[in-house]
Amino acid sequence: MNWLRAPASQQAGVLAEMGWVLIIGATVLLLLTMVVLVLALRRRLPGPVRAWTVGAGIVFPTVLLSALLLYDVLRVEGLERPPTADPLVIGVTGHQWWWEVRYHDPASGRWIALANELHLPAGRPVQIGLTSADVIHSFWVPTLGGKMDTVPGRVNRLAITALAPGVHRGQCAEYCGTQHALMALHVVVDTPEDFDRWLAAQASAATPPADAVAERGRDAFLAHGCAACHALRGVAAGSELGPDLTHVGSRLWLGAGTVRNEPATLRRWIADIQGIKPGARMPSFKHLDAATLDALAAYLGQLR
Amino acid sequence: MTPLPTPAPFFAALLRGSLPLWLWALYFAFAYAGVAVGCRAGWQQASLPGGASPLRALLLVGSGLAVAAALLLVVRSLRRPATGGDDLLARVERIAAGLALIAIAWTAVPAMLLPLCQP
Amino acid sequence: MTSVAGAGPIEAPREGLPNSLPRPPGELERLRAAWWMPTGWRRFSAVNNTYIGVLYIGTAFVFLLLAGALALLMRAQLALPDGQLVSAGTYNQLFTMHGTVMMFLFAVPIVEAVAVYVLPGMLGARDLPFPRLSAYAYWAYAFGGFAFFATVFVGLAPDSGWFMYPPLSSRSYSPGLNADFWLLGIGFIEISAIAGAVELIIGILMTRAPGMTLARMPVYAWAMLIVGLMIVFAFPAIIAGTALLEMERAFDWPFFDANRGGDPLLWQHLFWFFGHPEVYIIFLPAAGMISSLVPAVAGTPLAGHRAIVAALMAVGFFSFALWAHHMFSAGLGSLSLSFVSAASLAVAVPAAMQIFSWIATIGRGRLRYDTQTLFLLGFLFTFVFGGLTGIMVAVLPFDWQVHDTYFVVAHFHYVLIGGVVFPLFAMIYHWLPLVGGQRLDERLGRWVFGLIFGGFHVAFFPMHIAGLLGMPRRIYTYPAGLGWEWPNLISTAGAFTLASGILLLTFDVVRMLRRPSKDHDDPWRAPTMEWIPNEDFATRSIPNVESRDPLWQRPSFVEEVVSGQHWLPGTVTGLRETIVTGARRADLRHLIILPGPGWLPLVAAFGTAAYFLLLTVKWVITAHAFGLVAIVCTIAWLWQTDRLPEATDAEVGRGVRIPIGAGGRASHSYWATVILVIVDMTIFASMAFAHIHVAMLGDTCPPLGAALPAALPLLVAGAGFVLSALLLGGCARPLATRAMSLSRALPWLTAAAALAVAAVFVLVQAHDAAGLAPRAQAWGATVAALLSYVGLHAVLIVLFAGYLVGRAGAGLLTPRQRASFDNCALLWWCGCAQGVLVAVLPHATAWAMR
Repeated sequence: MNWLRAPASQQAGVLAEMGWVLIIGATVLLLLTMVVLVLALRRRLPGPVRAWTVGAGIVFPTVLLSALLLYDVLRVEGLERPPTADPLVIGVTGHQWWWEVRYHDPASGRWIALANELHLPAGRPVQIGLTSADVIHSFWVPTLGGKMDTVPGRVNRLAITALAPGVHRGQCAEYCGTQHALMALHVVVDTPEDFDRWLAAQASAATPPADAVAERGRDAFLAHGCAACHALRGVAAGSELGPDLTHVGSRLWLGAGTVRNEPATLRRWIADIQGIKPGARMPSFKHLDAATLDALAAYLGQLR
Repeated sequence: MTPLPTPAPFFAALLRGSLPLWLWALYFAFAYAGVAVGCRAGWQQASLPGGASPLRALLLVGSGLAVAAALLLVVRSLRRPATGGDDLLARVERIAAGLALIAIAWTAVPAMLLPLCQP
Repeated sequence: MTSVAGAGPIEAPREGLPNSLPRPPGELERLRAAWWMPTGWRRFSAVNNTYIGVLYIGTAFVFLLLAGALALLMRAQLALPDGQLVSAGTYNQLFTMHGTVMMFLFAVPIVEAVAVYVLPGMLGARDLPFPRLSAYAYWAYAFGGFAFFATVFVGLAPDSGWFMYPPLSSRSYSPGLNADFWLLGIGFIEISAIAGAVELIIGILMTRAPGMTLARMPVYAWAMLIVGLMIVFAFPAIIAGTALLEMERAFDWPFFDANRGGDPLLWQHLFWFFGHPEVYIIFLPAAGMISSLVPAVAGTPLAGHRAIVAALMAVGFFSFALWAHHMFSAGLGSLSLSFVSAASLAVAVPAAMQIFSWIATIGRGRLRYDTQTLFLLGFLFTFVFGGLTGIMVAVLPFDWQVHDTYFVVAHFHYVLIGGVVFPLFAMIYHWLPLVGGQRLDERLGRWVFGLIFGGFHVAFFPMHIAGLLGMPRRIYTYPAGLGWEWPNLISTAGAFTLASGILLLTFDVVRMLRRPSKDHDDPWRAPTMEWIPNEDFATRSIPNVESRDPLWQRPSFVEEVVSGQHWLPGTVTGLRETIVTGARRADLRHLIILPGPGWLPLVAAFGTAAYFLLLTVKWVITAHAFGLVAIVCTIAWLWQTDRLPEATDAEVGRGVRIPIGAGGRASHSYWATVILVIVDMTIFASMAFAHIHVAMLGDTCPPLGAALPAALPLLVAGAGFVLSALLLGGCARPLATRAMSLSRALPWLTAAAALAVAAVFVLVQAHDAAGLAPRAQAWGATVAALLSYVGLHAVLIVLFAGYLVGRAGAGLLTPRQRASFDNCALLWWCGCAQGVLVAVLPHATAWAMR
């Protein structure tokens, strides 16, 4: 129940408060109703019948639910208030079965494309613009707030003001096809200084290969058609069919939160993605020889 | 054996018993469609004297009328005697009036308190 | 005192019962002969409600077991993290089919089926008002449902979730036949539901036993009446929605494609406008059953009877405002969603009214702890629990966390299993003696209840936890380390326990039904009339009702009815008959003749099912051959209707005569047609809504690239429709006093039909000339959909004209026997009205959008 016990944003805090009110309230009401039932079973129900049909049936729920409604509407009104400071705007586009993330680079003024992992500065209001490139998905990071669907043809908005640094897991929450189950994401909340540093690094072009193995990996990337789907800024313009890999080495997880980003798993992902996430749009590259796979993994792993 | 029942106008009774709920349905449709149409047409821009928007004014006036009408129906239903041949109908009318008043009042709360359209 | 039609209120004989003893010799034998049940394989041609009802209930129960088996596979897959039992693709088919079969092939059919079986007896009628319609609805459901389920075995089952959201369910993302099977499979359920609604509304309002005023009508009947009315307004939205999605998939008309001006949310609005009332359509019958059960097991009349009736009506209304609470995370705007949230809270009040009325009834009675009582108590706990989680998810911010997680899965299983299945199981224990006289085993019943109640909570309570821990719905597996392992493992154990309880119940039911039939001798001393001993003809005489609890009111009541001292203890015409009474006071009105066994409904149902299924697999020619069979059978069946016997009135009691048959607005078939007209107009309204919704999405109306048709042809078309309607009305004028001749019918009806068809042509031409391109833009597609719907009505109008000409030619259209004309006319006028509306709508919408 992490979003109930450890809400990590302003909005999640409100949702957690409401969640506890509802859980405790519902439990109390269930117990009260069962007490009444037990009294009735033991033929010890006090009062005239009308006290129950009208009193318990109409008056009591009306009073209680009126209070609940007022509480609910006031809290919603608070959540809808525009941010006090200038929000950071991030674009997220849902794909089958990964998340395209776009940040605005203040230095160059361009929008840069990332994938599957967001970073947020603690304490600053963030506005995420959500849409979809194919079917309806839903962006949901429980500890940072509620969910919002990504609907093709619409831009929905989600406001998050993260409170303190940490790492949060999210998962697609609208059934979107074969691999809906393996469409997670991670959100890293940084201190404002760490965030600026991260954004500047992400905005830069791909790290050049540091050694011969990595260089072989870069050549393999170009030779085996990876750029048909994946972009590597400064190396291959690529296309937007698949996640941007310019800084894939900096991410905590791979494959939309499916496996941890470690050298062995990265290699296995390239070689046998269909074994890990069957039905994903990327084919397995089993046919490549071991040395090539090692090189590719080494190259991509150092793209921080 | 008691005498056979006499014919009685059915639709009139049906309408009488359910009228408060039709009022609620009308008000709900008005509120929901009003917001949909009003936001599309830009009526949420404040343009009335006092800084209110035409859409908010529309919602408030409509809600006020609906609540007043619902109260009227409650009062009317209490005036009818609940015994005799029309026993069930009178009681149903009363309860329906009460439930409709509650539902209308509850729908009016967000109409007064929440921002009108998506930014 | 006697009276015939039009001479004022019919009064009873002054002293005693409607009829006296001894009954004339041979009366009972003639009654039995009129209601003969065919034997052997001919039994399948039977149409009376007890036969169809048992088949219907049994078939729905089979679907419960089948869909339950799918769930067990799902639970097995989810028991452990990174499950490998089934592939992602298979799992996605499993959960889609589980939901679809449970909601469409089990839940709605079984509540209709129970009503088909029990309601006429409870109301004192001999049968439902349209036995062949029920038979047709059942067989279409059975053939279509099993064929649809078979797709599981060939990997063609739909896999986009039971609510099939586009674009996932559109052709681009679901290119196979799977989604088409879902769409066309739903068609059967739509037919059955509408037919069921007609039976319920007409049966409850027009065929109650004399003296059963609305105030004396059992709460179960009130619940079914409201359910029937809800079906009339809710199902058309999904009929329209599924039609649009199929047109998108088949013709590439982009209603839901955002790239071409469409909107995926349009589907969600249409689906859930049906979908939310649908769950109350499923729940209200169960609430009605509980209102029947509690007095019987507590031995005291229902407390708050009138309040419960009001509460049922309020639920019926409020449920139509809840649709968007399934869309709380779709981005519609907090104000609009808060209206829906407020309505979702409002619906909790009438629910609470019923619960406390039931508890108060228990409180003043003396409860007998039979198995049905255990299920009743299980229902009270589980449904209140589910209702409370329902209030929780009605709160917008809370739903933003738990929507589309296992918390919601837990919520709806609590209200559906707790709120519907538990009452159903209670009623199986309570009402099974009606079927063969046997009671289920009480000792086994304790085990059944324990396994089911215990298994259910062990299975579904942990899902609340899993959902609050962040586990989304519809995932074929989950990783270890998130804390989801224990809730899932426990759930799986509970699911298998629940299944074992249901299997034990099934075993006991089958065992008891195989025992030889005997009289039930009123095991529960229940107050309502379904417990009066009966045979195929229902009760020997139609009861005269003087109380809300007739069997408790007078100890001699049952004896009187069985010995034939109440109304119509035999058959006047030698055919099957029942009495039509007034809607409010159930005063005697007239006698109606009911049909006996026949093959036409079954063959027509088979043809209908085959038509839709073969179309799905694209065997177009064979499909149309079967469609033709269905149409021919339907016409033959209709040809047999609207026939009155020679006699014009009948004696139903000492000196009390009532007319046989009635025309115009007194006819029960007229009101059935009115219901169909309302369904038709609501489908039309849903399509018009689609047009308006799409129009509002664009910057201009009509959007760039599309144009409105010229005004003149639209006026001409409108005039054509109006003229067609007027000619039809004019044709009927002499029918008030003399039979309609062929020489009158042929020219008038041909002209009227030709005008309607010509009007449609002009309409289509006008749009075509303006460059209507349904594939290019959603706006054009919605116009084309409306035109297609009007075109369908034009085809129906031609069929009506031909049929009526045929009847006139055969001399069957007379002032006394004119239902065929009146009913066709209603639908014809409906089609013309829609034609006029379609002519005007695009311009009206564009004008409003300026």
